[in-house]
Amino acid sequence: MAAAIEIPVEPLTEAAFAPFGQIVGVRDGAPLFAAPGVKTWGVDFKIDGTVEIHFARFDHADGMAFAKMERHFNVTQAFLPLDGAPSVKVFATPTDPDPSAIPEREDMRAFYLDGGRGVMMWKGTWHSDILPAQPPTGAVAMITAIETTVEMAEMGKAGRYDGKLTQIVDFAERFDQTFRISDPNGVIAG
Amino acid sequence: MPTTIEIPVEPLTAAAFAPFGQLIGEQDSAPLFAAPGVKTWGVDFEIDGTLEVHYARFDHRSEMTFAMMERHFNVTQAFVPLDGAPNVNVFAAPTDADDFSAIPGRDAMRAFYFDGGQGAMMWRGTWHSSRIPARAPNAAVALITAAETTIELAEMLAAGRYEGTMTQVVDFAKTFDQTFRITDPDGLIAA
Repeated sequence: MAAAIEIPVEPLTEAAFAPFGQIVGVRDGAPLFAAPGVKTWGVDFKIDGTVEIHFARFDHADGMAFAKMERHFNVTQAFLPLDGAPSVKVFATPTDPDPSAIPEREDMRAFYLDGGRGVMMWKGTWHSDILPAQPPTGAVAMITAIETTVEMAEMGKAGRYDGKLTQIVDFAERFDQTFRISDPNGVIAG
Repeated sequence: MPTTIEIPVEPLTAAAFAPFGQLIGEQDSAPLFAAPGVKTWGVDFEIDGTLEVHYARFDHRSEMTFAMMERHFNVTQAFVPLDGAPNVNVFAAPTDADDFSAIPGRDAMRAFYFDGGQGAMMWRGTWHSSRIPARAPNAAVALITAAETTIELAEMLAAGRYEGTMTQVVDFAKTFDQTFRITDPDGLIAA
């Protein structure tokens, strides 16, 4: 069993995140909507399918380790932290739709989600699960497509990795690789 | 000078909220999706139009007051508190969608405390206040709505119109000389 490969966590900024998607937060530029007492900023959400909103609870794992990444071709999936719960999520930019186009360690970037903003990923952006920074769990609201959820449940049951809407890569199984988040710069709040 | 009517805030439960919509939170039923390390529960979101996701920042005021409510006919609008920021929202169950005079009275209004850990999705036509942050200086939520609703609402506000094809807004101060204030007799709002 190979040692876990470390990925250092980085602060989340609009510029750093741009190759992977958009931040659901205060953006540069004029508000999308404003009325007395409220201002809003939007993201470029896209979906081929039917919108589905989930409350998702992710278990905290020691070392914030992960071995799987996935990408969705039909929806700019978005994650909105609840409870202000901090987490880390790892991304890699969209690659060729060919199932053999799998991101390498150098393509992976880990961002710290401090609980105050959400993220929306471009179609095809590779991503890990949400990795809660604190035990026991972290909750998010997730905006996705029903068709994506249904296919992923079928893929899970059948042990399939290459779907029409989603591709999953198990790095442990295929490459004997696992990853863990490191925090050399103390980005994760104590 | 308008009359100020007090509305006591209540704890948020799925049962208490059922007439108004569904909670984006853990549910008693089996998960919608489960995989190692994750479980999810869904809501019955519906939209006639184009999905839009906003980050919305609402200002806190010294008193938790409001004078306007609105309802949307084309989308089961949802909001998700960010930063764990607590807020209060007032709701009234949907009234006749074809009748702009079907406006909820005080007795139809219920104020719920959102502790930051759950979101909510409203049925089409559920009357609602704006988000009322429980703490200074503001509270942020992600708002899941229809692009068409946002555009029409901006046009309505610019034109001073209250009755749109997708949204109706009621200004109780202007129409009924009433404003509302949230009270917390049971100490629900965390210090």
